[in-house]
Amino acid sequence: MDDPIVIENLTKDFNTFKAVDSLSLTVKRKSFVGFLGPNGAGKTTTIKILTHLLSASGGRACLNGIDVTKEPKKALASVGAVVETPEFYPYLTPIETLQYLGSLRGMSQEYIQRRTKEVLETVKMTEWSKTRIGKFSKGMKQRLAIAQAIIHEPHVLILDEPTSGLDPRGMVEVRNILKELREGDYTIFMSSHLLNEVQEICESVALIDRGKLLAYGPVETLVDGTGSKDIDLKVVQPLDGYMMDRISHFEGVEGIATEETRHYTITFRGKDEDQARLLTDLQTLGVKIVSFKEKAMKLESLYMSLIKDSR
Amino acid sequence: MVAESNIELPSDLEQSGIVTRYELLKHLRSRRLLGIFILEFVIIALILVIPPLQGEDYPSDPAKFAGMFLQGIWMLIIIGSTLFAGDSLVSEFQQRTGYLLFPNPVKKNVLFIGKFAASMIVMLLALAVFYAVVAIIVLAVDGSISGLMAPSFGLALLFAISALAVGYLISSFMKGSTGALIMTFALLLLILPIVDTVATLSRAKPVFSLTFSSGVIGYIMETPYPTDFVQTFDFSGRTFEFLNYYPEVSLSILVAIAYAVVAIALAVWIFGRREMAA
Repeated sequence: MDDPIVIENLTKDFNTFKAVDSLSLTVKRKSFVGFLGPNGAGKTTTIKILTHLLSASGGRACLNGIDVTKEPKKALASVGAVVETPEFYPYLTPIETLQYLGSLRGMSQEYIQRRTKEVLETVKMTEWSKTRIGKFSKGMKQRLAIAQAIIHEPHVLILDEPTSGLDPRGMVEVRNILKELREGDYTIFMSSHLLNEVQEICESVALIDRGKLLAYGPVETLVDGTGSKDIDLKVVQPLDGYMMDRISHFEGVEGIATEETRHYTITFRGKDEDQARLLTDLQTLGVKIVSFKEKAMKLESLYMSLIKDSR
Repeated sequence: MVAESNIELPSDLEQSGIVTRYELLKHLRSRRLLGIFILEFVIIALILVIPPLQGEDYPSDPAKFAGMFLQGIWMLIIIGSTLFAGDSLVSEFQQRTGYLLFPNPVKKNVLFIGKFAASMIVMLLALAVFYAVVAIIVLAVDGSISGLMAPSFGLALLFAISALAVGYLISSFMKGSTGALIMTFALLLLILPIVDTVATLSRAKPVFSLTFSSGVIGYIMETPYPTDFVQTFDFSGRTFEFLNYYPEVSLSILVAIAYAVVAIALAVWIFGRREMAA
C-alpha cells in the first residue's frame, strides 16, 4: 500500500522567489504530522499544491500513490482538507453545505445524512445545523470546515493552520476535535506555526524554512536530539562574579546571562538527570533559589536553532 | 469506519448537475432574482401606462404591441448577465469559498459548466416570465398574440447566453467582485454601444458588435423586417446624412454564437489556470 502522502523534490517558484525548494517528505499511514515553519517558510504553498489549489513548478506530490499535480480528481478522492480559513456559501446551512460537498464526492443521500449527523456532533455544531452560515463566527466556520473535511471519512486529512485566527476558546475547541480525530483512522498532515499546538497534538514534526525541509521525525526523537535548553533562574540575592563564574563551569552549562536583577538565564545541555544535578549544584554553591524552570519548550529550542542555522 | 475510497466518484456530468443545483439555490435565495422580477414588472407597467397618459390607444397589431415591450429586453439581459454572471467565478477567489470548493475531487471546467448552466436557467426563467406576462397582456388587449414572439424569445435566449458568456469571461480574470460586476455592466451598456455609435458615424456597420446585433430581438417583431436606409437633414443650407443600420438576422445569430463560444472558451481556460495564490 502506498504511503498516504509522498512529496518528492517539490518546487514552487513565484517568479524569482522559490517558495518551495526541492522538498521531499513522506507521511506514513495513521500518523499525525505537524508541519512547522515561520511565516513564509512554504508551509501553505506546499499544502496548496497538495490540495490542487496551486500548481507545482517541479517535482511530485502524491496522495495515496496518485500524483495530485497530474490527476487531481482521483488523488483528492480520499482526502479531506481545511486550507487557510475557508469561507462558506452564506446562503446554505451546514446541512446543505455538507450535502453539496458529499454529493460531489459521490456519497449516497443516506450516507450523507448519517455522516452529517455524526460530524456535526463531532464539531459540536448540531444546534446550528439548519441555520444559514452567513452569520457564523470564525470559530464556527472553522469547526464546520473540519466537519466538511471528514464527512467522507477520508484516509488523509490535510489541515493548514486550523486554529489560526481563532480566539483562545475556539483554539481549545478545535484542538480537542483534532485530538479526537487522532484516535480515528486518519493520516493527518497539519501545518502550524504554533509550537505548543504541534507538541501537544502531533506525533511527528517536519520543520521547514525557505521552502526546504530542515528536520523530520517523531517529536520526542527530535527534541531529545537538541540537548540545549534555556533555564529560567530566579534567586533571592543577586549572584556575584564568583558565583557566575562557578556556575558557568558547571557540567552542561553553556552560558549564563543576566536578564534583570536576581533573574538569570542558564543555557544548558544535558538530560533530565543532568538538569537535576545542576539544581543540586546551585544549592550547594549557596544560591538561594526562588524558581528554577525550563524557560522555553524543547521544540521551540529546536525550532529556533534550526531556523537560525538555515538563515 | 467506511473507507472513502470505496465510494465511486460521480462522473463529470453528474458533478456539473450537482453544481448547477446548488448554484440555482444560490440564485433562488438571492435578492438578485427577485430584483430582476421587480424590474420586469416595473418595465412592463411603465410601457403600459405611457400610451394612455399620452391619450393614445394601444396598438391593435399584436406584433407591434408586443414589440413595444421587447425593445427593452436587451437592457434586461444586460442587468441579468451582470447579476448572474459578473461575479460568479471571481467570488470563489475573492470571497475565499474556493478554499472550500476547489480541494474537492471536481474539475474546474465541471464547476464552470455547472455554474454557467445555473446562470442560463435563471436567465431563461427571467426571460420566460417577461415574455409570458407580455403575451398575456397582448392577448388581453388585442385578443391574440403574434407568432413572432417565439423567434424573438429564441433570439433573446441566444443573446442572453452570449452576454452571460461575456460576464463569465470578465469574472474569470477580474480580482474583485464589484469590479467584475461594474465592468460587465459598463461593457454591455456603455462601451459596446459607444463603439456601435462611433462605427455608425464612421459609416461602418457594426455587424461585429454584440449590442448592435442584439437589436434583432426587437426588430424581428416588425413586418417587413427593417433594412438599412439613409436619412437626410437640411440644416443652415447644408445637407446631413444619417445612416440607419439594422442587424441581419442570420449574421446576428452567428455573431451571438461567436461571442458565446470565444468567451466561454477563454473563460474556461483562464478559470482553469487561475490559482488560489492569495
